[in-house]
Amino acid sequence: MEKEKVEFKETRAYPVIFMIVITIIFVGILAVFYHSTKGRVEQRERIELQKAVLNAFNLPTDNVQENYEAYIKELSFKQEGQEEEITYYQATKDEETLGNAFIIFGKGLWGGITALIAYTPDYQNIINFAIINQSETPGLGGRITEEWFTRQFSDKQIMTGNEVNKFDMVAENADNITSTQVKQITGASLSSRAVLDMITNESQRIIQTLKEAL
Amino acid sequence: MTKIDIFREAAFKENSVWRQVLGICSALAVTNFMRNSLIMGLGVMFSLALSGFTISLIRNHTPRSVRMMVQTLIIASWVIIVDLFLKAYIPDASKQLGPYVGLIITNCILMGRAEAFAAKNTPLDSMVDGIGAGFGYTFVLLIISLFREVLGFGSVFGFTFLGDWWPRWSIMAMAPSAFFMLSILFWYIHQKYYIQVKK
Repeated sequence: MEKEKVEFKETRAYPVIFMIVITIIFVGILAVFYHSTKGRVEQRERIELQKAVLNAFNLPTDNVQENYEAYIKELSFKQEGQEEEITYYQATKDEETLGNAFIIFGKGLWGGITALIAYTPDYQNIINFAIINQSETPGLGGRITEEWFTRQFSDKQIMTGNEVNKFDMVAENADNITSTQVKQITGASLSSRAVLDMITNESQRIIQTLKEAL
Repeated sequence: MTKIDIFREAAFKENSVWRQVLGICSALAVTNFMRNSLIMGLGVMFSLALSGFTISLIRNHTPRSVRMMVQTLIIASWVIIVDLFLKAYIPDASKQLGPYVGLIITNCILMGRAEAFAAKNTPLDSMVDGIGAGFGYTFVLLIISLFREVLGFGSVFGFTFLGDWWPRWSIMAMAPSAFFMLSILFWYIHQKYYIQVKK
């Protein structure tokens, strides 16, 4: 009996080969696109961070790269027993140290929050605070990036003696708030709380680490 | 069917949101700001058009047993390209939409149009269908976000035009208002254009 000729498309191997080929093609396209945009994304992120550091010390941001090189020094220290180095940004103007800024991390409602916090040289006060990355709900928790919210932490006392201060939340439209109170975002109390916890916990960690390391 | 008919059918007559009840998750999530809605809509439109074109292009060679895997791969690839493009060229929009852009991959409209149209029609027609479906989706998002942003923030596309006299309805910025607005829109469209036609 003559064996029936089976077309390649009808074979069991065809779907597997097809899937492998199509995957290679699309992964290749993605890789090319990723590499062609990578430099631009990295440069934008670098300038954004430099701008945030300058803003944290109330330094001019009209020419970000030039001012960053003039005022900011990138320093790092190693905690005993830890592999990773902690990088921080020190601002100096007219040979006077303005303060030190650190990148801090916290857990928001939907994902991680990355922020920048600048302390006075004695680590008693916050100079400024800014959010770098977050994935909170746009229009609600996403408002943690708004200036009125982040500026509330400017000049706040973070240390009392050896203890890190804790802040309380009050309503967004509250009047006459005290120095340990912060206005929360209406409808986003969890995101607001996440920011407060991040500032307290990370300040505790940084100051403790500095004490041990230096 | 002419290209204009395909566009009209996908955008309005068989609108993915109000007729097929697809893409609801993102219609609820991103519609508190018109700017986010527009960018999300354009992202979906772009992904729909290009994935429709690509799926249709290889439809005669795609084995039936793996067609859905192929469609998902193509859709995911185009969505990642949209995400990378936003990160590189419109970083502000990328920051605001960050978590949602990736979710375009799971938007049911993309798989729906791939299965219902792109897998059976020519690449150009599929592209027009994708643009139409994306336009219809963007249209719905913008209508919902117009009401939510005006009532919730007193602004349109971020430009505040209602003064402090307007008490911002914070519920309009939250998820429940999206359910109300979507339901009202469904009810209105069905009453005006579908139920009367039946009679």
